[in-house]
Amino acid sequence: MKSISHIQSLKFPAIITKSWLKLPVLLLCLLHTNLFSQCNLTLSGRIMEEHTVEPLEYASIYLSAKKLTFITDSSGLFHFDNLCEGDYELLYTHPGCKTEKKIVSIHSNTTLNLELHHHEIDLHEVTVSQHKRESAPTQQIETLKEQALFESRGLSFAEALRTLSGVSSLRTGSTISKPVIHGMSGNRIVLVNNGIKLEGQQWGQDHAPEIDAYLAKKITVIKGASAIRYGSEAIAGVILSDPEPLPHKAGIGTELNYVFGSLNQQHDVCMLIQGNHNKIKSLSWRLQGTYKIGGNVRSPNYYQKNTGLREYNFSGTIGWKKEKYGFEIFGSYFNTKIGILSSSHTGSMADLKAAIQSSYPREQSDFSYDINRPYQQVQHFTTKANAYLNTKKGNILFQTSYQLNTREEYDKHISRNDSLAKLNRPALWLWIQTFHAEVMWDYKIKKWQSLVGGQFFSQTNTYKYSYLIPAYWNFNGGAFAIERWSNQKIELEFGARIDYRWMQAILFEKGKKREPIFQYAIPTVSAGVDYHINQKMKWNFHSGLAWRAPSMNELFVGGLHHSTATVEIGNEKLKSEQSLNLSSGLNLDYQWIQADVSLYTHLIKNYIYLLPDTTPLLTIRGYFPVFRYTQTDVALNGSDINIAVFPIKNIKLEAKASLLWGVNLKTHDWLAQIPSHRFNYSIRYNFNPIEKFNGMFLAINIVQVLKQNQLPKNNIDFLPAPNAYWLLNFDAGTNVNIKHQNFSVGFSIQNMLNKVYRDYMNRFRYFTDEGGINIMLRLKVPLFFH
Amino acid sequence: MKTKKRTIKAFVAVIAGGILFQSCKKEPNPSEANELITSLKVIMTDSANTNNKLVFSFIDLDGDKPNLPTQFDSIVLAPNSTYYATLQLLDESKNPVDTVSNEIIEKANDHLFVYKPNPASLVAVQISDKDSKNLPIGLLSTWRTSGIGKGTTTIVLRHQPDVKNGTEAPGDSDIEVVFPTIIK
Repeated sequence: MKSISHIQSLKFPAIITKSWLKLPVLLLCLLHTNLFSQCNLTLSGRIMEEHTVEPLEYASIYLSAKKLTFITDSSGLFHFDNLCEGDYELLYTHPGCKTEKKIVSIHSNTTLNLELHHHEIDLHEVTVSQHKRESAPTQQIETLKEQALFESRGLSFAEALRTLSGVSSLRTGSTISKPVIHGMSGNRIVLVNNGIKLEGQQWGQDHAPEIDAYLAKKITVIKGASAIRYGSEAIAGVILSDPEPLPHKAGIGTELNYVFGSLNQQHDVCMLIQGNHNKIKSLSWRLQGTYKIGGNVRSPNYYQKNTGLREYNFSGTIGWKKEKYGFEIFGSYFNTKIGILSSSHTGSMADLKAAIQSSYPREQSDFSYDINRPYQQVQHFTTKANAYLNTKKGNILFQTSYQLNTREEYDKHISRNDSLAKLNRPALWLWIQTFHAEVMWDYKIKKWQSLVGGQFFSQTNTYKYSYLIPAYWNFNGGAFAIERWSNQKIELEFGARIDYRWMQAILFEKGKKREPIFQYAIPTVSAGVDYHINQKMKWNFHSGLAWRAPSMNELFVGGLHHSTATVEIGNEKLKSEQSLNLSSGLNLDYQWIQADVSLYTHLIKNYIYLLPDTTPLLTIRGYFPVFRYTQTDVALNGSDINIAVFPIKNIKLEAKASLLWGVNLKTHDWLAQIPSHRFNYSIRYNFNPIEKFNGMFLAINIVQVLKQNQLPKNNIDFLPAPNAYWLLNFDAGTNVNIKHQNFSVGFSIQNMLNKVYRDYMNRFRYFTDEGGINIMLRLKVPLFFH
Repeated sequence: MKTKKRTIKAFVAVIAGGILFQSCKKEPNPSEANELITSLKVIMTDSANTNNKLVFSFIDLDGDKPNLPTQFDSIVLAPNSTYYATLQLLDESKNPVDTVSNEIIEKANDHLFVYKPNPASLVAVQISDKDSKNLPIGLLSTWRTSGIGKGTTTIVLRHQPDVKNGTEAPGDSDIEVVFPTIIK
C-alpha cells in the first residue's frame, strides 16, 4: 500500500478567476502575460525525481506571476488553471532538494514533467530496481518515508512502524521494542538494513533490532510470505530499511537532525555529511553518526527507575558509479546500552507476586540519566561490499557482507566474590558472526521481467558465563527465481525458492560434549496478481507457501527469565513450520477518497510456540512456571484497513484498523500473546500561510487499543490482560524555505491527556504503567554547498 | 561470457573464504561460568549431645537450568530438643568447590536469612549472628522443638544490597527452599 496523502492547492488571492474585470491587478501581477489573449488555459504536469522517475510527494511548485503554490500528493501531479497566454516563471522544490526555476511559454493547455535532483537519489540503480521490484504492487506493502518518517523521528525503529496498519510491537518496558507483523515477530520477520539481512540474536523477546533509525530514508514493510528474495524465514514478512542513496551531484551536502522528547528527557542528534567529487564524477561518499541519550521514563505517577538509554552509531559509505558498472563499500557500527526497570528483576515466585501486587514499582527513583544493573549492552558491526554490472543481457548484482553482534546482559546483582565483582562480568555474553554472499541477475525477455539469484550464509554463535542457547554453526545455501509479467490491466508475479540448511549445536551435558546435527530443505513459493479495474481502482491477491526451520533457541533454550520468573525450555524434536498465507485487497485512489482494505490469513502447520507446562521446575530459588516449545496448527486471520477522505480542501480525515484473530486449530481455542484489535483516527489540516513556509500542518490523532479478550481457556498469566485504552496525540510541523534550503520543524505531544494505561504486548505490564505525556520537538537542517 | 565466468569464480571464492573464516573455533568454556549457589546444607548439632551431628541438603547442580535437584532431604529432628544450626552454601559446579557462605559472611550487611516454619509451632528458630550494623544475618541459628509434628520449614536468603533493615521485605531472593520437616 502506498502512503495515503492528499492534494492541497493553495490559491492565495482569488483574483485570477475573473481576470477580465481586474485588469489593474493583473497588470501588476502578470508582467509577462499578454492580456489580450484568452485566459482559460491550464498548466499541469508531474514532478518527479530525476533518477528514479518516481513521483514526488510534498513537492511544492510556485507560479510567481500568480503567487500560487501547489503541493503535490503521492502522484506528484500539479495543476494551475485560468492562465493566459504568455511566459510564466515556475519555482519548484522538494524537501532535501535545491529549488529549481523554469520559464514556460504557454500558448495552449500545457502539460509538462518537471524533474528534481535529490541528493538522496540512488546512484545505485540496480539496488533501486531490486527494491522497486519488491515494492511492486503484487505485494502487500506499507512504507514510511519523507514526511511520515520525519514525524516518527525520536521513536525507536519498531515504534516508528506502529503507525502502519497490520504492524504492532512487542515491548519490554518503554525502551525495548520489536516489530510484530500480523501477530508474528522475532525469527518470523526478516529485517533488511541497507540491503543486508540483519543477523543478531533476533529470537529474544527483549532483543530490539540493531538498526539506526536515523540512517533510514525509507522503511518498507512487506506483509506476508511473498518477499522470497530475502530468505526462507520471513513467513510474517520483511522490513526493509533503506538509507538515502549516495549523491551524484558535485558538491557537499549535510543534514543535521535533532530531536528532543520530554518523556525521558531524550536528546537525539544525527549528523550526516556526503559528497560527490567535483572532478571524479563517479566517486561519492557519506559519513553519518547518531547519538542518543535518554533518562528514566516518566509514567504519569512515577519515574521508572533505571530505564535510561544510550546509543551511538556511525557509518560510512563510499561508492563508484559508472553507467555500466559500479560498486559500493559500506561499514557501520551500532552500540547501545539500555537500562532495565529495576523492579522487574525478581528472584523467586514470591518476589514476582509481591512486584505484581504492588501498584507502584517497588523501587522508586527521581529522574536520572544513570544506568545501573540490570542493563543490556549490544554492539553490532556490519560491513558490506557490493557491485553491479549492467550488460545487454541484464544486470548482475553481487553482494557480500559480514556482521558481528555482541550482546551482554547484566544481571541486577554484581558478584559477591570481590575479585569476580571487579571484572564486572555480564550474566550472559552472546556473540554471533555472520557472513553473507549473494549474486543476482535481473533481465527482461518480452513481457517477462526476471530476477534469479543465489545466496549463501554461514554463522557461528557462542556464549560465555552462563547457558541460555548453545554455541552453534549454521550454514545455509539458497537459490530463487522471481518472474513478473504485466500488461496495462494485469500484473502477475511468481516466485520460487529453495534453501538447504545445516546446523550443528555444541552442548555440554553433565560434563559431556554432544554435537547434534540438523539438516533442513526449505522450499518457498509465492504468486500474486494485481488487476486494475480502472485507473483509480485496483484489486490484488497474493499467496505464499513457506517453510521455516526451527531456530537454535527453539530447539535448545534453557534458562530462567528474571523479569517474568519463568523458565523457557527448548525442544530438540521440533519440525519445520509450514505456512500458507493468502491475502486479498482493494485499493482506491480517487480525489476525495483513498483506501486500502485487505483481508488475510496465515495458516501455519507445526507452529512453534511456548506452551505452559503443568509441572513447575524446582530450583534453589523455589518453584518456577515452565514454558516449553511445542507445535500446533494455527490460523492468524485479520484485516488491515486504511481509509482517507478529503471532504474539503486541505482537510484529511483518516481511519486505520488492524484487526487480528489468532486461533489454535488443534484445541479450537484462542492463541495467547497476540496483539488485540487496534484503531487509529486522525484529522489533518494542511495549509501554507506564508510564502517561505510550505507543507505546514496541524493534526490530531486518536489511538484506540481494545482489551485482548481472545485468550485461551486455561491461559497461564500472572495478571489478566490490561483494559482497553485510547490515547490522544497532537502533531504540527512545517518546512521553512530560507535561501533555497528547506528546513523542517516538527512538534508533537503524545499521550496528551497523560493517561495511565498498560498494554498487553508489553512484557513489563506486570510491573509498571506505560509512559505518560511526551512533548517532542524535531528539527532537520539540510545544507548543500557547491 | 568471460565476465560471467569470472563472476562465478569470484562468488565461489568469496563463499570458500567465508567458510574458512567461520571455521576458526569459538567454543564456550564451561569453567568461565558465573558463580551459582548449587547447594544449601543445614548442619545441626544437638545441644544435649554435641557428637550428634545432622546434615540436611538441597543440591541442584545446574542452578536455574532445567535439570532437577539431585538431593533434597527432609529435616528430621527429635522432639523437646535444642539444635545449633549452621548453614553452608556451596557452588559445587566449580572445581575446586566454591564456598559461597564465606562470601556471605564478607557481605553480611547485604544479606539476611529468614526461617519460616509452618505450622509456626513446629519449631522455634532464633538467629544468633549479627552483622556490623547489629542486624541479624542467619548463617547461625538455634532451633528448639517441642512436641512431635509434621510440616515445612522455608529458608530464604534475601539479597538486600544497601537496603537491609532487618526485615524480609527489601531486595530479592537468592535462595528459597521449603524443607519438609518432621519432628519425631
